Amino acid sequence: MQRPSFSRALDRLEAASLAGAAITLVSIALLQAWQVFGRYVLNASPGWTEPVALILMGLTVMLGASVAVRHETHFRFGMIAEGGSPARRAGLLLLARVIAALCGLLMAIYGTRLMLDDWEVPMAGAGLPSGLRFLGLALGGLLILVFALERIAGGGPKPVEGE
Amino acid sequence: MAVWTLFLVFAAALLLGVPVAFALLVSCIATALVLGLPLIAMFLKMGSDVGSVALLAIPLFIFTGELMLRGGLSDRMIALATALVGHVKGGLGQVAVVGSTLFGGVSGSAIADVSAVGGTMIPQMVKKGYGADFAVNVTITAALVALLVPPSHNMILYSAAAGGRISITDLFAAGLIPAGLLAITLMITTWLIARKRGYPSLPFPGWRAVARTGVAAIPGLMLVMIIFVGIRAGIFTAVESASIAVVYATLITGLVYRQLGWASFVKAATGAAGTASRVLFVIGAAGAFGWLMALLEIPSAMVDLLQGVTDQPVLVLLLIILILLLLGTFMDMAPLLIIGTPIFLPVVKAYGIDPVHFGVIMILTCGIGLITPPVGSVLFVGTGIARVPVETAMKTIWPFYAACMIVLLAVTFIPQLSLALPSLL
Amino acid sequence: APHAADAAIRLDAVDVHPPGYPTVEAVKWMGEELARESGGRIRIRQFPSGQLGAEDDTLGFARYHAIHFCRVAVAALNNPFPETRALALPYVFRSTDHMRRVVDGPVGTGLLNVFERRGLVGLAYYDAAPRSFYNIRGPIETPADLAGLKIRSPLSDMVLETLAAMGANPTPLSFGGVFSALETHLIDGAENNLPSFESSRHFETARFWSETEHSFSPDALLMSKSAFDALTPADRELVKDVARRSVQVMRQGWDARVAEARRIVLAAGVAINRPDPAPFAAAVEPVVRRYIADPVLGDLYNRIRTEG
Ligand code: NA
Ligand code: NA
Repeated sequence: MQRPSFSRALDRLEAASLAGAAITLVSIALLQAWQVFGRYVLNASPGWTEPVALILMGLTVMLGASVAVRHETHFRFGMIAEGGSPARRAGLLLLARVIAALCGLLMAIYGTRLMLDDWEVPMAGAGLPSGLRFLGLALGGLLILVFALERIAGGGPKPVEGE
Repeated sequence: MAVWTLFLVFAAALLLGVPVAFALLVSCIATALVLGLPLIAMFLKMGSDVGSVALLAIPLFIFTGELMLRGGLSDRMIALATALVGHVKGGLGQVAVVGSTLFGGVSGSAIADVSAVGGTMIPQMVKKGYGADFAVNVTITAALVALLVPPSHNMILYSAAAGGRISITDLFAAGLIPAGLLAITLMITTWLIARKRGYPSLPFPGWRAVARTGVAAIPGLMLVMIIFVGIRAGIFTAVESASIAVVYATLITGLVYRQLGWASFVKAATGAAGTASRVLFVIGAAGAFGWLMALLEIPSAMVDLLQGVTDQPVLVLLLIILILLLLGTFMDMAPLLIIGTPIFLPVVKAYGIDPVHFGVIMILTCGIGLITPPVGSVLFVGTGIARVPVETAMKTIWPFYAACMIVLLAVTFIPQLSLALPSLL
Repeated sequence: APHAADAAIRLDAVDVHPPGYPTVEAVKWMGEELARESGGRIRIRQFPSGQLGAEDDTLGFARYHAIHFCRVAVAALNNPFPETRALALPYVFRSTDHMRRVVDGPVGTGLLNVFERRGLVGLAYYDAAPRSFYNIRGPIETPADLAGLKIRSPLSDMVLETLAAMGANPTPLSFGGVFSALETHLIDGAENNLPSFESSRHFETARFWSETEHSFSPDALLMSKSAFDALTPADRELVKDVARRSVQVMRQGWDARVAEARRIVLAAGVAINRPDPAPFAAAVEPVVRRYIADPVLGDLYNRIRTEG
């Protein structure tokens, strides 16, 4: 069966999020390794590696967390939620998805505000806008909202058992 | 009112199946609304925590574990371990304990430890027919040893929270005997469970096989050595060592073993990003939750309660341990140490208890919180690696909790376990 | 909305330092004084030991009115409030007395007003100085002795540049990581004030304290502007006045703490030397000149240098 086009678009968005999470993770490793290299080989410890690595970690976490929202693989306790009638299970699943969407919305709103409020402040060591610290929160919040809404609308990939 | 909102909303959301991170966040949002606090503060705390240096090693050690796994490096290490202790009951569990102890001397962090050792050992144990619950339980409790073996950033945190008046070298020395005791107790526990469950033990393959697997495992053992020597010799920090581990694991598995292709590298990176993000997302939400707990002075309210109950030093100590264990069910280790130390240390000092001794008790007790639900980051990493629900691990963790409690009580009632070495060194 | 005149007001104050530290004690004194002068109406509730976050974050919490007071190092203010760099420049102050006169005078008062831009009210400058070098190798007599030494730097552009200008290899590291970094010789040394050198136990490993006194960068006590504006005009004046008077309490505590720290590290066998500051000041001259090329900083710099 042909999946709806918005669902395929979200597949691509998810792939991009996961790729972003993986690329930022690899970059963190390279930046930290560069820091060691700089200290011994260049005899000058770069001050920018750590702040940049921390921005990237925020992105890794939030992009990855949004993918986990789409696949519904976040840590949860299913003991009570998974018992009872199908209607009760569906109701609780809806509740969880609505709460995820709400949290995503607030993360996006406040993440953006935190980012803009600190945009003019240069980051110590890196000279980048300090507000970038909250880029992951803002972006990840938006993606969490989108993926949770997709779930609420009945879309999304099949849930994985046992997670 | 606010306190009840925080806990009841969290508990209700959690029990209704809302993911832990969102249950934490929604309870923080509700509490902030009750208190008239700006919501943005909750997200400031969360955003700041998921971008903090203290956590930077976690995704990198998870990544290293994935690379070792997919690049065949950990298979070779397990082959050696199997040759050495595979004939003992629960051999791979024993390897996990010993491995955690050794690696703990490197990482200083239980989460990094369970990421690195668990990332390798849990899938191996499952592969060899051990129960996933057992694999998770032995690995996550073994990771607590890492807190007690120097270097331990948690001990530095404790000293700082105590106003920096406690010698960190004394604390480091004080952790050694309790760490050994915990490792031995866990090995005995592992042996007993493995015997009861009849986990496979292989015949001893002979010293020739030990030597052969040993040579094949050298690059893997070198990784641990590079981290260990690198940190001890001051070549790099623990965080930097995690990045060196990633680079090293990539080079060895890609160029020496030639088992890591581009596709498996990508799989390792996306897999690690997925696991790490689910863990750190909860830790970030728990940061906001812990912030509200501190603001609501929940820890100190508990102390007032405690001081009205008894004036016996031993009872006070036991009550403090009980409170920390309860707080530890919800709170992460670092905030609990930071909040709990300035509150409890003056109390125990008044009863004549040595601050170094109390430090070891604090670290072990707060550490146990890392493996208790509903909020336990080490528990989450372990079950995340094993891809089993938390409750699966919880059903059979009791013997391991008992082992931790025996060691905790021994450390509490026998101050010499903590204080003998610092006075010698 | 302003509080009704007779309603109880509870103000939350945060600090990363533990109870007993001079800044924490000064704010505690403020709370007692406010309660006394307001007849128990205004009280301060303290959250020391970093319970409510690192310095950077507490600035945000205060700004958004999640807390009321925060005490932070001026170094943490240098980037959001570039004017405060004047107080952090190496060798801009000659002595503790000079620094105290400046922050008590018109320059200090002016530099308390810059925080309003970002939703904060400056209440007082506290002591956190002088800062000097300590290391594991040997006494530092001239900048040449710093050559090639890996010296820990907080994540501050000015400190990074200052250390590099003196010939050291600046190594950014969190304060909590310094102890083990000294023990493993990842770094050779660091720079800080005597109370921190002592209370962090860094002196157990770093046996050489060299009094270069290259920075007198103070701490600042700030208040959430929206919390401040919510007070009645009379209460605002009261808070400002009590904060101003807390400075004396803080200075007494600080001087005692510095003396005590000196006694403890000397008793522990730390070697203290007092090098001639002139060559160090000359080494950082290009850094200072680059900063004071900015007209605002240049003007502040001149006013500080010519102050008594
Ligand atoms: Na350790
Ligand atoms: Na827990």
